[in-house]
Amino acid sequence: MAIAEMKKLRLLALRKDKARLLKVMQKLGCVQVVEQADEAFPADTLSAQKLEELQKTIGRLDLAIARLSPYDMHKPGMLSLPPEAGEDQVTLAEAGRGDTMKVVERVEEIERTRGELRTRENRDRAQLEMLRPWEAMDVPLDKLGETRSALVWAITLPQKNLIAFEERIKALGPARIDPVSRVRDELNLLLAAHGSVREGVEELMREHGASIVRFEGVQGSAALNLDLLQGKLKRIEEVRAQLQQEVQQLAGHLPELRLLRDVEALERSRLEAGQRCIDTRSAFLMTGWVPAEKAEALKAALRKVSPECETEFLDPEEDEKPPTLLQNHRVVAPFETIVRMFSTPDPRGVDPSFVMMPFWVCFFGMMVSDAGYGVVLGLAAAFVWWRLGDRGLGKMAFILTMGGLSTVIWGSIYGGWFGTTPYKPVLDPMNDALKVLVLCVVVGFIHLVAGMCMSAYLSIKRGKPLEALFDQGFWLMILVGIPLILVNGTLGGIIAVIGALGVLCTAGRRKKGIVGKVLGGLGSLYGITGYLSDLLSYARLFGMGLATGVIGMVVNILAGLLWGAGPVGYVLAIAVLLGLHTFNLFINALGAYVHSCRLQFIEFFGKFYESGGRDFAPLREDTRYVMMSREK
Amino acid sequence: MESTGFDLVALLSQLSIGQCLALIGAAIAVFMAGCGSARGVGIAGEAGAGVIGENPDVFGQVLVLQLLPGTQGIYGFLIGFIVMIKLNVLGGAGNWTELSFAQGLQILAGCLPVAIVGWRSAIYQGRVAASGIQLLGKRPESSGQGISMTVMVETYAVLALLASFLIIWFAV
Repeated sequence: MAIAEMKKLRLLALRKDKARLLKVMQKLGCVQVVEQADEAFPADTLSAQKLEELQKTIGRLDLAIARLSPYDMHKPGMLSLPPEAGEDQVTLAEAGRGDTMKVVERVEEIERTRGELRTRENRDRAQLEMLRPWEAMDVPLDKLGETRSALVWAITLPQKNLIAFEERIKALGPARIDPVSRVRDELNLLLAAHGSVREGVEELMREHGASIVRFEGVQGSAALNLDLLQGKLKRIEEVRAQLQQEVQQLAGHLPELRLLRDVEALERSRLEAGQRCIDTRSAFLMTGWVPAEKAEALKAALRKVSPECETEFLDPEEDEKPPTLLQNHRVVAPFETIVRMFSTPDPRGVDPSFVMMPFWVCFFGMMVSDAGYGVVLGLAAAFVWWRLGDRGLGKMAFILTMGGLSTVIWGSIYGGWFGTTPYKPVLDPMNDALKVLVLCVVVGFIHLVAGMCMSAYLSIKRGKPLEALFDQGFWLMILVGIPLILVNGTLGGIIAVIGALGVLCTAGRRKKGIVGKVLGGLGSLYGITGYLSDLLSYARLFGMGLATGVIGMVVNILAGLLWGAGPVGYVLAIAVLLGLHTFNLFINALGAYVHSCRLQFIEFFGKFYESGGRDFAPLREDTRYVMMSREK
Repeated sequence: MESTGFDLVALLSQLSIGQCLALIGAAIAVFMAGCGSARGVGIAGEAGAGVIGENPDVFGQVLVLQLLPGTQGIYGFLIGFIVMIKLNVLGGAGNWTELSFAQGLQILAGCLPVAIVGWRSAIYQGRVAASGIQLLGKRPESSGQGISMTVMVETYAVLALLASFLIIWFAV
């Protein structure tokens, strides 16, 4: 349980060494560079420009990677570590930047071409749809229209008006219509008439809801044009297939793209850190936070690349707030993620991971409470953890491995194995419900007391032992005294009364006036209800455990009923067993996880936690696709 | 009336009032908590679909949040099932446990906490889950906070489950 002590680094070095120094710091990953602005020293516009360019390049690389990734033949699985990259690969990637960027350019070109193809295809398809009804009409489309002496029109007419329209047209004299095709209720017709009856024809068309179809800029017959369009669409398909093939080939370059992306991202981080320094023409001044234990190693490493550099390590000032770095044993360290999920602790507060971890694991086991599920969950999580170590999902996998282990222990005590009870359990949650409920509250009591001890420890560490006695000591006496009454009435009673009197006299010590002090004490004593509700909250340990056991039992009964139905029943029963037990395991592990967190966040942290820290975010090798190999 | 395979009157005459009350209780526990959960999961799901539309990467976290209001239905079913065990419904039609009127009433009363609290709390939890999912859309890294807030609502469903369980378990 430790929050690392931080030192403030001040580094003065030559500008020409800056890039190399930053590289060393990035490799060590232990310096968080602090922003410094001083108007006397203008910002470094050259590196700002470079940063912007880098940003653009990384954006392009990201986009190209996203386009190519679906065709990646050697896609890294969820459970495999990213490839390693050493100094040589980085040099190679930097040397091959031109070639790699050509791949990116080609991907962008293909993307553009695809966009154009889409537009062309849409246009051609629209025209195809328009021409298709006129396929049977052999008049060249450019010959349609009107002259002084004749008119030839392609028209559409509602089908119901056909007979009337045809009769009236015939009555006009030199005019005729020929049907071409029908689309739902609309007829497509070819209308030919002498120029002299044009007005009569137009009048009739208005009356019968007919309209002229114009084919602007289309030469030749509809059938001919349809053929042409089909050909065009086929060509588009061909080009598209070619592009697709090329994209698949380009996907082979993904490893280079990913490596270059990460190399550029590393440089971006360095430049960003570099911009936070104060620069003069030939020197620069950097301020940053360093964990105290890394200070000497850092100094030596910096001296090695730049013998002229000056470093100094200062203790943080009273009004300065260093970033928070949690440091724990590797068994506890994964649980820091749970603490950080709540909030990063204040750098002058306390890191609760170490005390929280055993409780978290214990609660998780009590809530899943089925040894069979514990075995499955523990083994699956252990496998993931073994593959990934502490990267990515690995931390979560470790937490669940511990949870699974605890589940096996509690499941054995409760006698739950996949919803069955193969032996007489030590504690039977179904028949000894009250005993288990009491056990849960007792465990919760220990948890609360631990929380109060943490708070007392903080007060004592800050040199205020009286605060610890007033605010926690007396309360502890009440909380321990009351249950003690059950065992030894007088002793318990005395302890509890002393505690209560103590709280009454001291809780209002910061209030003004006698009345205020007394009211403060009474008000604080009323807080006992808060402790009661906190304790009851631990009843969920029993409730959640019960839910798992009973649902598991239901699944087994269902499967048992199916089993009786003969060979088909066997198959169904096994499917039901596998499916429903998996579901039950999943939903209960999820519930146990979040409820275990809740008991820490509200009941436990509520007693002592001081949030408000910022995570230590050093300049480090924050890559996405590759792992930088560690050299000595 | 000709006797068929299923004779409702004969079946009802075999049941005592206590058994009927207990069965009604089981049914209420299952369907009220179930309806509440369906509603809660539905509210969260609607919000989830919107957020996934913008950012498909958060699907896993959204699914967890959507699932949280689903537990109330399970609690209701669990209580219903415990009533069935107490009644020995699964032991066959003739072997049901005999219940007095008072016992039946106690079981019915025991079903009410999980039925009513499960029903309402699942809906409220669904709303918090929906807000948590919105939060996820804006800041994917804060899924932990969203889940914690949603779980707060669950406390009362768990307490109701416990109350129901204890009342029913000690009825017979």
